Amino acid sequence: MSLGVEADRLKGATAVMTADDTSFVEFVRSRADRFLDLAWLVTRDAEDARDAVQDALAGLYARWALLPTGDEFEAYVYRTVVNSCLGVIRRRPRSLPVAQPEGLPMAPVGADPAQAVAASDEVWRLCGALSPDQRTAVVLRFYQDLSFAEIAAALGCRESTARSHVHRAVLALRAQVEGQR
Amino acid sequence: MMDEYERMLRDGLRQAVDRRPPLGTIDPAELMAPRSTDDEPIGLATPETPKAPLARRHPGVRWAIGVAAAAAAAALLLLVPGLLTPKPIPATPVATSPPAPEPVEPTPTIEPTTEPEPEPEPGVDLADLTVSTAGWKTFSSPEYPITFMYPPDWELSYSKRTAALAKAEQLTPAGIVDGCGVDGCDVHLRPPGQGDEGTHVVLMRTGFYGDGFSGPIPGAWLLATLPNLQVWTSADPTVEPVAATVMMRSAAGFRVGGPPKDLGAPYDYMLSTAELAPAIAVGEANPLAEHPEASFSFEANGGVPEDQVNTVVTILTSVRENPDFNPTQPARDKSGRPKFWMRSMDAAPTSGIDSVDSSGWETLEVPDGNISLRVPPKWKVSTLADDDDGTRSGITHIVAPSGYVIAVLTNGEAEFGCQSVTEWRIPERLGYLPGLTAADADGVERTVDLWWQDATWTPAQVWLSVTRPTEGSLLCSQSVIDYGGLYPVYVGSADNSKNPTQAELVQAAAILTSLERLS
Repeated sequence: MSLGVEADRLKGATAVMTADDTSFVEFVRSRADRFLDLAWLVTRDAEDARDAVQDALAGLYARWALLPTGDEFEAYVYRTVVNSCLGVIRRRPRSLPVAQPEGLPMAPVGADPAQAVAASDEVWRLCGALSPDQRTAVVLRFYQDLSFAEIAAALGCRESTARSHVHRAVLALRAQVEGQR
Repeated sequence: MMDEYERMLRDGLRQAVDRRPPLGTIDPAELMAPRSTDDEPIGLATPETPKAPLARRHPGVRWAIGVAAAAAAAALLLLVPGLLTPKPIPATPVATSPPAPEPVEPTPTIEPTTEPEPEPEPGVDLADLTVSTAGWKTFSSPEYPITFMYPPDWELSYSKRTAALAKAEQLTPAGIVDGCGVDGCDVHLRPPGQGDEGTHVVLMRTGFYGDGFSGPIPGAWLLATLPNLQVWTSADPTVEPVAATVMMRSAAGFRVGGPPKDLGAPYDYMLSTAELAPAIAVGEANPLAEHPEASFSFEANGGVPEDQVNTVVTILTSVRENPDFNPTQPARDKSGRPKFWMRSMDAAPTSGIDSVDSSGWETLEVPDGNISLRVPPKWKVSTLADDDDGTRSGITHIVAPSGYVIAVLTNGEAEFGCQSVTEWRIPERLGYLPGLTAADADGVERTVDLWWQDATWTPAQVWLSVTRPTEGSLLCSQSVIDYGGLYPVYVGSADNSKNPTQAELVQAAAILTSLERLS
């Protein structure tokens, strides 16, 4: 979709799009799905994931012109999304709803489905047992491929704490898997 | 980086995403539509209605200016120890396996007690920000330099060490001290009923690897001064103690290198000084020259909800020096290494490398990097597939039987990085690869050197890099090297979570030193 068409479509909601607005639109279009994936893995709830990402992106838009650039921008974005995810988790009522079937991993189609399902189940189960901070560190490390420095910036913790979260999660997974053998 | 369980995590998370329920698409137009002031985005204030932080509503608060990041501050230089005279590296190794450490039973040392409500501190105007401590408990442990008070229904916890965990983490035999992980000792305090969610107030001993004082806390405001709590911020005997302060910083992010910005609630709160020291120590005499591990941080991060702020500030201001603190615990070994670190290797990776027989080794070619490497027969090579969108991974792993990984990466930038060499973080240059040079990021031709670092709180590592001469200052090296291929190459240890065996460490060095250009 060209810029001209986009500007026409938005005219009813806002004034003519500024360069900042354009860059924000491009940013959302290119990154929103990835943020939804991240939020899903951290919050483990579809509605919460969507709420968290929408809130985070809306907050970013409110400050868009003032945000830092380069690596600081990425750090700021991840920090905002992570904070939003952890925020929705904190606001949950104590009693959680019954697990939604669509939230459970389905059997894959393909070679060796039993083994693939077992591995995926183990990871899903493990991540559910982790604290939100630990789960976030694991997701950022193994799904988003962030460095420990970037994870620490997103979580607002020390790099050593980020390493510790991931390290302990790996150990816990191993203990979980080996305990079943 | 990718042992079996890390790979399982990566694959499992990707499968979970593949199977997630549809979450719809995010419409930028909805995000950009005007919002009411009652509907503020989480963590950020709108430009039209900036929300003043708690500090600004309180008289006597002033700004504290954040300064440049630790990397720039580390231009205050350290001598670089241990650089060896360059020598060629010969070819192959030998094998020994260190004995497994004996498990040690942990002894809990932390016992909360109750104390009468403390007298109000003279000269500290915190009436608006603190609550009564009547009925509060007191945390006190000889393993931590301070005591503090906390509400009786808040949950105090610390990482529990067990013999099994210590063995799994390859800790030294006496590595079990409650509250201490491989990266330090910490105690967590949480509001009731939230478990691991919500606010964490964390007391952490920070000086085990000398980084406790690297760079001030950026973007923090001074909330209150505690004139009756004097703290040390440096091992320098000429530096006087200063009054402790309670600082606050936006949890939504901060800008390094300039004045803090009002990024809105929620905020983090921390014990510090007016000069934003990231770690402090207490004591009548400065303990830091003899015991850098006496430094600590005490903070609540992750964003404190408004209804918990007063309690958190009260906790921070209740800090007192602990007269029973024993800075020698957790203990150090004869070389001064903290005993809760990972077990050190028996020897450097070039010890016995002459005896390695590489005649049966396979050759791995990495055309993108214009290099080849020799790989021992029991090590496995795998290349990570490119992303679904076509983004190349540029990641090849050479995996030892134990799972220890050497990575060959062609997805990085060829640029120098500088690090301060601390008492604990001592990389050692073992020599250069004969007949091989490479242009660094500045275009200067340099030898390609083999480096290693023994296990500390991270496993032992080996890597290749070109090194820029420094004048008694930071160690500046470049481990992503241009060998004339399409992409520059990193060859070295990945982010392993376990040590290699001694034999594998030597083999890893032999793999690295077998590097040759293809053309």
